[in-house]
Amino acid sequence: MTRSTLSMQLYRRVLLLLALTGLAIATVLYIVAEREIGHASDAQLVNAAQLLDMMMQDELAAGVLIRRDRVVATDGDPLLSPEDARAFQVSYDSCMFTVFWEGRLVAQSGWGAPVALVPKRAGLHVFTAQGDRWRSFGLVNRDRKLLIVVAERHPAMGFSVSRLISQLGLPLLALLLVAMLVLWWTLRKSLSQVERLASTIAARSLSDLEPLEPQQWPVDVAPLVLALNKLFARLEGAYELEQAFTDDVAHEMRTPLAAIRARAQVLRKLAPDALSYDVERLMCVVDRTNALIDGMLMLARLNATAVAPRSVDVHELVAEAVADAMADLPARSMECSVTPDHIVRWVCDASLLRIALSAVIGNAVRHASSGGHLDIAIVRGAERLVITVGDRGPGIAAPERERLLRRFEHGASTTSGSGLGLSIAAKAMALLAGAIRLEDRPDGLGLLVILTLPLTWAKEPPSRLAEAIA
Amino acid sequence: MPRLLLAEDDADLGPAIRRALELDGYVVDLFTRGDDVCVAARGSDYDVILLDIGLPHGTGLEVLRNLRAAGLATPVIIVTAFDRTQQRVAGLDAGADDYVVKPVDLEELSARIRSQLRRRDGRQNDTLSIGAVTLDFAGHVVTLDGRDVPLTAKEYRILALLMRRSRRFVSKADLEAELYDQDSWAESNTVEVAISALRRKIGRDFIQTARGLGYMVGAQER
Repeated sequence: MTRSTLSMQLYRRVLLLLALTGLAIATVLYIVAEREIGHASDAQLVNAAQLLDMMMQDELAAGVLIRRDRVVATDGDPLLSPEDARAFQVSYDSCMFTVFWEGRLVAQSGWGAPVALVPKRAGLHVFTAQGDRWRSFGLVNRDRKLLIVVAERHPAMGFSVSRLISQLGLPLLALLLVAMLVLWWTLRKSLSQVERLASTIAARSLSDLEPLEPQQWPVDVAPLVLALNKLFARLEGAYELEQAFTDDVAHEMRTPLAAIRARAQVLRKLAPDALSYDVERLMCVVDRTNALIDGMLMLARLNATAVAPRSVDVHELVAEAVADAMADLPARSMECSVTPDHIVRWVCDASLLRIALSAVIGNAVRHASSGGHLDIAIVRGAERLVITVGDRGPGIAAPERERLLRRFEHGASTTSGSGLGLSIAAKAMALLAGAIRLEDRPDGLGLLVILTLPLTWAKEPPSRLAEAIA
Repeated sequence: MPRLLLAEDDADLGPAIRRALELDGYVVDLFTRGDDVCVAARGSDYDVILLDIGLPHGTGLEVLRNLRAAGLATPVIIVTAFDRTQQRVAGLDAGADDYVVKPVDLEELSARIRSQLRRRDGRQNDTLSIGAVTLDFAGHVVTLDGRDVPLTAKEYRILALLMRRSRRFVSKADLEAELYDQDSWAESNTVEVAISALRRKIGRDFIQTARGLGYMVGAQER
């Protein structure tokens, strides 16, 4: 089952409601129209009967009817002049009249079955003749001796459903189509505010927990914005707690470690040669533990880093990282080459890139083994900057690479270091919106670390940016 | 014999640092409370004060501000587990002369104490030592393990620039620029010639090279 979107659900429901409303209006219209037309035609029937009655006044007054009351033949009946009768003949298939005197038929509008079926009663009646429904009105007069019945085919029969559809349905359908479009457009427009909210939040860095400005959002989204702001506040609190906690942990662990290290150094000075190897190993273990704590702190604090892109000399940052890594090595134990040998400018966050480079280059130097070789290349393209760091160490087996980019995973090699170097680099690169890839060196044994930085925009005057791109 | 005041409240670390520094020939007084440190520092004449920040009864920063407000000029090295930049800045702003993060290497701490002692004696501005090499800027003299090393003017200028920017790579272009203003036109291989001469005279391992970055000294500052 596919999940429908909120807007689609809303759209479907409102559309259904609209269609139902349209149908209901049509039905009510139909019923009202039918009743009004019924009333009107009933009034017409009554009128016609009274008219006939009036037209017969003269003959009745002259006593014609009484004089000729035995005459059954109604053709050419003097009750009604031939002109009057003809008017009814013309509309015979939908209208007719009959006149009874003391129950006997004395006049009628024409010949045919309906006449025989006309109810001989006063008032409004409905009867069926030849499959059609008829409506009749009987008028009683002259001491109940005269009965005039006027009938008309039922008016609703002309007011058919197909005519209703053609006359009312098409405009309604057109209205529905217009409503669909307007509704869809309105929905998209209102829901675009929600999308804007989503993209605003998605664009934030992990450490950006500033509350949203409620004035910048429609009132409908206000509950969401308020809830988000509350969540931000809670996260901020939790975040500060975590920072304080990491600081405490670092402090608490560094102090006893410092004591162990100090005692080990005292031992190194005083111990007989037989113990010197063990004392050195002890110092190494302490240093590794310390490197681990440093790495953990670095990882924890990376989340809090606010990314501030500006034009940076990447070559200079590489030089700093190599200097740091090589400064503590015996001189000439490591050969390093960097290409190119001049400034390479790129817009990115300097401190994050420095962290990533230190981690990768430090890692390469540690694993390149003594007499090792380090090759670093900076390649600037139009869309991205690529920094490759290749060592001549044992390399990393393909299945292990992904694992190494995660927290607390060590390589097979047992050199010093926290084991967090590559995951720190991966984290920093992720914050830079870049990528880190581990590969085999194409030219022999060793690991190749490839850092890729995308094109970003500086939060600086455009002149510096133009300089960086030029 | 230099006298040190050590302020450290940790029952393991304080005695351990005192023991190590005593082996280096210092007289060390250990205090564990901030208020005690204030009284002791004002009461007697110490050469260097080593101050932990997280002290009970007056934090290290409070003690430091108090001492500086009282006009005490004794060099202070902050020894702490807090390593954030703003904490360093706060420490230095409060009047510290140096800042060391735990777990401090005691040889490094010892070197920093010596540096403070030299500075107090007014010798810090004219000499610079890296490993066994000491450079006297005033006398333009370089010594290796105390023995004078004869250098040409170009070699001296290159070594001086490298040592001033120790632990950082100095590009060949910067070294050439350093020579260029001295005499005529620098030959394209002048820097290489001078570097190889320096390596011959003060040891092959003193100057590091990285292709594309330049030259660097200051591998082991011990």
